[in-house]
Amino acid sequence: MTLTISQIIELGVGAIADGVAKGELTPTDVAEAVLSRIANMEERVQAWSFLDAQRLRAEARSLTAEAAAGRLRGPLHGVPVGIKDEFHVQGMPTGFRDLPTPVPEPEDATPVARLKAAGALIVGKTHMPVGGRMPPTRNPWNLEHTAGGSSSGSGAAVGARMVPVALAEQTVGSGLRPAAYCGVDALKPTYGRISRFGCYPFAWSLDHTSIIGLSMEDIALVFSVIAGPDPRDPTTLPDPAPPASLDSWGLRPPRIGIVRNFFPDRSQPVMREAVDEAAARLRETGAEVRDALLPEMFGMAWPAHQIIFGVEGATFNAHRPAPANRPDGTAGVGDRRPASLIPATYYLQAQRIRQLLYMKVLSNFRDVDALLMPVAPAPAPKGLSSTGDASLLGPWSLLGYPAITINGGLSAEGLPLGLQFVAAPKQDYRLLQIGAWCERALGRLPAPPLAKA
Amino acid sequence: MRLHPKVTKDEALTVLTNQAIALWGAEAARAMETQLRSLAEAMAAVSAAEVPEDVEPLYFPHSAASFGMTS
Repeated sequence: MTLTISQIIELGVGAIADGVAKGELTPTDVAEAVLSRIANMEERVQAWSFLDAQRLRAEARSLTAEAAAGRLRGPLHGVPVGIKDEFHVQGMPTGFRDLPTPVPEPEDATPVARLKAAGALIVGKTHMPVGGRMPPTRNPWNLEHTAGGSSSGSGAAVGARMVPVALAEQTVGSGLRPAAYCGVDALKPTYGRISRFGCYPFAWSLDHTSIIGLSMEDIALVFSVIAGPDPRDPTTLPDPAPPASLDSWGLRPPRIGIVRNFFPDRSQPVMREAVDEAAARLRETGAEVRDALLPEMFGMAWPAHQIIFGVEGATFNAHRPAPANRPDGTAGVGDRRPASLIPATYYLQAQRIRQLLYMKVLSNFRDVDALLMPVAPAPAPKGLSSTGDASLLGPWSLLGYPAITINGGLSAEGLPLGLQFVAAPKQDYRLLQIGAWCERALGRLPAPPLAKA
Repeated sequence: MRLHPKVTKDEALTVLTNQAIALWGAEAARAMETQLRSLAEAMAAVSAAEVPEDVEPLYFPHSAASFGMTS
């Protein structure tokens, strides 16, 4: 097989793994394609916080030799993966620790260890905000716009086709938002479906290890490798990982509920139109589409999330000195002191609200398989001083329900418009199948013009 | 700060601001005003929520499964 650099990465996870398994591609071919693409684009996009080309090439040589000898480590043999800085990778620093002198980590986070055991090539660490400072990462669809965050580099690296898949993490909206802003797909699974061991925390009960990829099929394959119970993370669910293949052709058309309260009011017309247009096309393709209303109490999701996020973050970061104020003299987002003032009674009441909402929202899935709403109120905003608005994603991080994003077209300015689908807890595999079905009906975005060179 | 009867956002902001001044000084408290105001609004909303007596806190979302509440 003679492929160009662009073609190799655009193949996606499954096709790269298949090509390596059949001897049509070598992990060294893949590593060189990735390094060439990064050399071409990184100065403009700035997705990576840590890269070690020598180490990547050495690992690729080992994987190539093993493949040549007929030994494949697993279903991701030779597949390049980006890792959000927040996850520990043995021998690489975790910049999110914000240490004066970064130090290499002694061991891998569980999802990273499982990727390696399956043969994945760990390319490096991707940028995220650290200590309230925004990352330099730019959106590959328009370099003047943010790539989103906090999984900024992971979204941009996949969006720019530097890698076909990357680990992300979502506490509010950090996984789906950068994927949507950068025109690619993502899964935030049910809470506890993927281990958090070795993921430097934002807020323990809200942090979700997530996956950003080029397609639902690619994400499903990676999910099948890294999901499942982990004795080192007692919050993981006991259920084994789902199958690697979505097997979604021939599935019955999904039943989709368009959320008509809370989310439309918080969205700009361009996003509401994207949802309605997608819904119309899904209906034409055979999906059963109806309107859905979330419980009246759903509005409490936002303050409950804010209280829980604030208290857990302030507790974990209590030992850190307060960061410097912004240039305008106001406290930065990294200053956890205000949230440390929240009384315990409020934290516990927010957790009770969480329980109540968890139960009430289940009733929304009696007659639909998934709820549809925008990922964000608007496309990626201009500038790098913010990573955008996470408000439409936080409720699902609070409740731990699984959520995905697929693309719903481009704005008039040429920026991706992300759709969000949410399913009942533990329906992750079915949600990925629905995502694949909908993606076939709606079509995937091509690589951004920047990445076509 | 009381949880019940419900607090207003102004009451919550007053308590938070006074605590911030006592702990970190008036200048730091002024710098935190936007965050304190936002927290006060969230606290007022949480304080006003009507939660049935038998609802316990949900520390980790998956633990709801033990109550048979997953689909």
